[in-house]
Amino acid sequence: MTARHGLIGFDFPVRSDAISSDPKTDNRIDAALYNHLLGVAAIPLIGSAAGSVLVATASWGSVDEKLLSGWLFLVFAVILVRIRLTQRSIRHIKQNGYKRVEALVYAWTTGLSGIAWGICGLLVNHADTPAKVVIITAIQSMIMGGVLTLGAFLASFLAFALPEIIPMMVVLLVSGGVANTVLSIYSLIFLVLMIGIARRYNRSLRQTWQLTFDNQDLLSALTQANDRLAILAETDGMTGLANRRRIDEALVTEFSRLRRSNAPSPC
Amino acid sequence: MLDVDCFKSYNDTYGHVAGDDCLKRIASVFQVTLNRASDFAGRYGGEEFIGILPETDHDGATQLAERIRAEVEALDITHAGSLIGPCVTVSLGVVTVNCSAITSFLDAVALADQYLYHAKALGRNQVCAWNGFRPEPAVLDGQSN
Repeated sequence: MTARHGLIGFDFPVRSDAISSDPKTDNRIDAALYNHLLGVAAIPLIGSAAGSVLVATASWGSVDEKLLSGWLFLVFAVILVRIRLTQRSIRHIKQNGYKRVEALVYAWTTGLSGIAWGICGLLVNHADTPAKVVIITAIQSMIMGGVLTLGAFLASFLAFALPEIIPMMVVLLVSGGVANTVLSIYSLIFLVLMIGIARRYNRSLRQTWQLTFDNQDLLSALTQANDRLAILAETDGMTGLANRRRIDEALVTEFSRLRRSNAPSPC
Repeated sequence: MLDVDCFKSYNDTYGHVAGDDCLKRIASVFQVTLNRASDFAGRYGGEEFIGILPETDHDGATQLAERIRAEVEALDITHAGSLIGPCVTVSLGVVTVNCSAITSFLDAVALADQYLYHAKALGRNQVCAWNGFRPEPAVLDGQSN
């Protein structure tokens, strides 16, 4: 049994029966993936900081310096805001556990970084050719990094990737010229591919957590059943007293205890 | 060790469902009376029950057995086929295990069984006990039921 998951032209057949349809398990998986997202939150922020400095350095001179400084300031302001939001979310999940709405709100705040980088894409036509290559590569690299770090929570990945690359694609498309149009189309293909990869990665993570939870559930069900069987195995079903097996065990135990203490014990 | 007197005839007279119910009530008395944490009560099989009373002297164990006998009689479960009286009764064999006299728990169980049948032979609805010291008891003639 297969189902189609993917985007236009990039459908991947994925076994749909491997993923739970049980909302309770889904919620546990969502919580685990949200934890994953929070756990690796530092990496995209560091990437954003380092990437923005590199882009500014490469474009310095070809792009208006005031615009570049303003953009750098914006990127770092967003990083600071997201550090605070991440710390707050980590505190909340520790105190109150996983809340779906809160997780979605946090995921969408990743979009702040997407918007900051999207503004960088608007500057693409102000840059000379080498700087243009740097900007386009940086924007695409940020999305590739996002697959790994934000892909755990697709809402977060999409909130970042779409506003990050679409402004640049639009600017390239409307500015005319064959090269710009091709760059725009390439960026679109790249975006679609990356969304496809993020979805597959997300699905693998979900399946991994599903297996983990299935194993946990199975183990606890087995332990419970085993405890019950252990009691049943030494209980007389009718009277609820110890059965013959348990009596024999108790007699052996009492005799070895008696041999040690040498005290009288009636039988 | 405890055995219900004339239980086969109880089953024959009242049916196995009533027989089970009777055993449950006796089991309950048995368990409630052996109420110390270290006491152990079990169903040995059929209508036979066994109790283990660690750290209990001969008099204490005999008194407890007598109390169980009296309380089962007080349950007043009608038993028209009984050879003893109008209601269900039990016989008990008590053995005090002394290290020097009994070396294996199988001996203890066998002896308790012997005293139980001695109690039966003496007319049922009674306790027959051995204090666990030498000389070892003579083989008792008992008649099973």
